[in-house]
Amino acid sequence: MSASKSWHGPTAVLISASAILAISLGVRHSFGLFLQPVSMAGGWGREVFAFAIALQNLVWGVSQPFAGMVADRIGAGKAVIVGTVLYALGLLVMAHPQGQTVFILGAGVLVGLGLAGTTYPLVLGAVTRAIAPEKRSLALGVAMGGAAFGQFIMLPGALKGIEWLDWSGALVALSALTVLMMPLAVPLFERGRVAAHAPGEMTAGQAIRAALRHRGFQLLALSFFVCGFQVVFIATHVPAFLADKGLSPGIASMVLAFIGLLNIPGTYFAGLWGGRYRKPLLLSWLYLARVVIIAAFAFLPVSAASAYMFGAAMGLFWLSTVPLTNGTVAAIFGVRNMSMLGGVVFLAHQLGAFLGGWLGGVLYDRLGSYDGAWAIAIGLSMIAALLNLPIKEQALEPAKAAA
Amino acid sequence: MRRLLHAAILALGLGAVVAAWNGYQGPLLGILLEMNFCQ
Repeated sequence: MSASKSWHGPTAVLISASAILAISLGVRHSFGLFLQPVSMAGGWGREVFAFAIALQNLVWGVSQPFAGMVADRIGAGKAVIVGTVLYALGLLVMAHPQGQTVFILGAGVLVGLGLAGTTYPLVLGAVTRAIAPEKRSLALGVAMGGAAFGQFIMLPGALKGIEWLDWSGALVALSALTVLMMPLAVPLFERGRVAAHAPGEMTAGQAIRAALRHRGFQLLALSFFVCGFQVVFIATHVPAFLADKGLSPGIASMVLAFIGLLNIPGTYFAGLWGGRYRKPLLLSWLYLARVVIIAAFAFLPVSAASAYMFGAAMGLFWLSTVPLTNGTVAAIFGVRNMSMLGGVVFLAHQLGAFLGGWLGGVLYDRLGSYDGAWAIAIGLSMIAALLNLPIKEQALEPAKAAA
Repeated sequence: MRRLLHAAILALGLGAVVAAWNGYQGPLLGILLEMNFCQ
């Protein structure tokens, strides 16, 4: 194997993809730690920071299909480099905000676009193109395991950074960390994998039309919406739920730590088994498992032990939807437009995420408890389990899709 | 050589996980309650 070839071979692609996802999603995972210091330094209410992060999620979700479309055409590596520049600039703006508007533009728009250029729909597209079909699901699991690892270690890491460097210095350090994604993007240049448009392959327009008409794709996007709803509802509201039950903040922190830790093997094994069994069937089981776990936690007596068990069990079924969902999209539509189509299902995920965070709060204010929101999370999970049952991993014929 | 590399990566990863786990039990506790953005 020549040196240049090995730099773009499957192993290099997988290592790079894992590291890029660990950095990109890990840095983003730590933003909550900056809420207090940034708001205090700016003399703003917390709504400025909260609005910037809400806008970031929206910009990320909406721009993801377009970023994916670009990556499918020019290769994920170049798209990651553009995304990294925006991400790093956004973090520098956050570190030295010149007023509220500039902060919102930096954290909301620049970082939001940066995330679209560097996170999983786009990066996993490159992984699916580089890895042989029989090993693809495992590779997606390994890459997402990297992401889960990054999220788990970055939170306490960023906190140490704030202690040592102050919040502004810590953001500059995170910006420098994101720059590492540039050299890591080299194996994802995808020379020869995306350049030529082979006869019989769908164009971006054909692929998106075929996907939106395809029943399996619709069902997959709907169930990914449910995933987004559940994870953001849980991450956002479980600490408050536990406090209502009289448990200390330390327990809430450990529950989130358990989720983060068990998320690492969860994504890996989802990918591994996705290569052996029907992925939509595994997704059905996964959403069914969430029904049982959430119902047991929400409606049985809550204790520290039950909270830890909930965290550990939910962690196993946390980001593990991602390799299975993206793997199914690849199996149906092929790898040519993978980053874009992954971006479309991710958009559905983000809409669910927005609703999960927001509706949880609204229902709590109306009902005085989380019971209603838990019931919705459980009901949606049952629906998602059923939605995945009829999905077939049958490759779509391009001629039929283009018609 | 390959095995050594694997062992080194595994050791580094486990070390990071253990260090992070300790971090979760530190001052992160109160702050996590404040953050509504972690997912």
